[in-house]
Amino acid sequence: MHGRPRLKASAPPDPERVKAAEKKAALFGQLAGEVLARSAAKRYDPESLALSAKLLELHPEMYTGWNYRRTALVPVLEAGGEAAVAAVAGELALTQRALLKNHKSYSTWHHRRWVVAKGFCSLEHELQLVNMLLDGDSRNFHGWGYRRFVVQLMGTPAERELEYAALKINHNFSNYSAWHSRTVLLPVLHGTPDSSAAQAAAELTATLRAAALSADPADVTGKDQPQASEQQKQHAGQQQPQQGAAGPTPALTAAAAASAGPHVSAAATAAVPKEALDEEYELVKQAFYTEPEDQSGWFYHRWLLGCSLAHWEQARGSEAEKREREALLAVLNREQQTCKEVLDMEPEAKWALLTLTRLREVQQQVLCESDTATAAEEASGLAAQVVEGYARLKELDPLRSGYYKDAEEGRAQVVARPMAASA
Amino acid sequence: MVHPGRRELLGDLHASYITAFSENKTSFEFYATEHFRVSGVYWGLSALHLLGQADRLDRTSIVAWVLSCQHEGGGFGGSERHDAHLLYTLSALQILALYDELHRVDADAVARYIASLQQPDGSFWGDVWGETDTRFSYCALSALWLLNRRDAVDVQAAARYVASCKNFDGGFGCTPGNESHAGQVFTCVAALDIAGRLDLVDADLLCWWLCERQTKSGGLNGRPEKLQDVCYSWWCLSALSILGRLHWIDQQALADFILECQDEEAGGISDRPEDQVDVYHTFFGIAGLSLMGRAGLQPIDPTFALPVEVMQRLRQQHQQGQQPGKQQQEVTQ
Repeated sequence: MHGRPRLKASAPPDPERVKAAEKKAALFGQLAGEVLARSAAKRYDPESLALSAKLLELHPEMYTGWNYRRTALVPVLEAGGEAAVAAVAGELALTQRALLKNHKSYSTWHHRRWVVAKGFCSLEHELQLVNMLLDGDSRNFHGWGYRRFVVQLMGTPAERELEYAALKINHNFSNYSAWHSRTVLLPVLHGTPDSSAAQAAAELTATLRAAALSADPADVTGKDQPQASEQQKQHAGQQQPQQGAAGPTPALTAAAAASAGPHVSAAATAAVPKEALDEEYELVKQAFYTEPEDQSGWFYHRWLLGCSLAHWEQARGSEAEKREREALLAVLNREQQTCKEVLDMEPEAKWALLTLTRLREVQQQVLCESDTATAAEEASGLAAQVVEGYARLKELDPLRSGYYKDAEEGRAQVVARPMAASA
Repeated sequence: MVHPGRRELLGDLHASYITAFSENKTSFEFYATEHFRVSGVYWGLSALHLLGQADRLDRTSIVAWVLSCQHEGGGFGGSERHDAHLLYTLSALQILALYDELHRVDADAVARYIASLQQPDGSFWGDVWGETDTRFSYCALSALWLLNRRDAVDVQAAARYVASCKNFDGGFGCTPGNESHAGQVFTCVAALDIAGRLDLVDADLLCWWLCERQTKSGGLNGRPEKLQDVCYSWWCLSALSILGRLHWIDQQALADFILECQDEEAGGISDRPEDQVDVYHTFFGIAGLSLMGRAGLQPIDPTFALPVEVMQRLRQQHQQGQQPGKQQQEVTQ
């Protein structure tokens, strides 16, 4: 059992307590049996539904119980009116109690989404509720997922969600969920120039096509469509999507395709302008200085580096290439400086050393493309430092020595696309 | 340093624990686990199979019971009183595959049920109620492979949907935009493997993220800055194994952590040392040790979470054109 202390077989529990537990178990079994029997008999009277509510509050993961309630709800919600509003309020209260019992219950979260998607309730209230939940458990991925669902329905601009993610990060730099959220939102904010939903949807299709093309040129159907549009329609009469920089659902859904990483879609990550990236580098630097051993910020930093690289990769072969190359080298130098500062404070800071080593690796690759003698000399100096870096990492972090060995020997490309292979 | 009573894999004790658990019908756990009992039986039976002790459970009654969990529409419920769902449809087929009894189901009917849950964007609902999750993509593709009915769904669309759930760290979430989670990483990588689309995985990036799941304890966690837990010995390790990078973690340290989680008195394995054991962690602990090639254990297939021996038999049957469902129809017609 997750997190429950073990009872020793050599010290068996008091027989009275065992008996009491068995009695409780039998009562629970009786209740479950009763609910399942009424469900099978298609009994949808208030007493039967109250019994199912009691069962689900005790045991929120019992999915058949939620199915039973939904079957009873369908005609009520279809009829609409006050009865529907009251029924939805009842389900929201019940799922809230169930989530208090188990805030990781997939079936309960799904029930709440199903109910909310039908309309008849305040989305503002849902947002407040999920804020409360994330205040208490800031890494709950069900909560973050539910938040995305609610803000999509509301048509909240990506900017506002970025502010929320920043708030969570400033509260605790170790919030990987919030850093993740930024990687989803930034390409949306900068990738969609117009707030019109139609344009955003068209761009989504284009992004997906591009992703599909780069992955599988033989099979492009382009039939991928944003899923939440149906739910959005149902809320349309109740809540006007806010006009904002990013637009509603499609823009936020497009983020998934855009955030697929530099390997899949350099175009999408290059959408984040260099000035915006600089702000992100600054934010994450604060995290490094505060908690250099926390991995969240360093993973985010790798993504930022991928975005910076994408600007240069996109410019290759064009007039802008030289300018982008210089800009990239400036970023690489600045970030190396940051890592060195962290290492000055803590010489055994593994994450700073790993990042420094990778930055040097990328710089070396960039310099290798130049044919001047000084660049070649600088590159060979960097190559030696990279080998040295990985050797030291193997000592500092022996659990992952297998990975460092492969990286040292050029068999693991985590930051840069293998340029040698494409050349 | 591993507890002196836990240095070896206590196989016989674990087998006894699983058998005893399956016979206890008075505990709260017995009632509380009813809605996913088919999965519970799959975990227990697979663990016994890996230990070479599958005959400790009664084959005839288990097969009859699993078949009684099937609904008219072709899907299986978590037990005979629960509604059909993809999660339990896969577990039911896995049990039948372990016993070489897949011919007892009408493969076409099950395939139709699974196909009915695929959406235009390639994703799968878990059941008729519309929950979408990449776990269900895996269940669908794995189940159809077992039945030799992959053509029943749009496999390429399924793969594209899974790829659309890929994140900045190379990992995967349950729907597009959701955070990476090691459990989801297994389902997505394995689903892409079944679809023949491992090219959609950023293997180096993902495997680096996965090897960073190993904590000082030797155990693996499921997300950054979370506690280690034996079940990730399967979720992370299977993906590392599929992608050929098991050597990126310290396997000895992980094996020691799993052994340390054994209950040396009553058998079974828990999430962390000194916690209460359960069948789920017992299976995933043994499965992790099996993936790392532990002596005395049958090897397990990282994509299908079934013994390699069972997979070899199924591949042979598929090649010989023995389609379980058709065989059954011939018998009944």
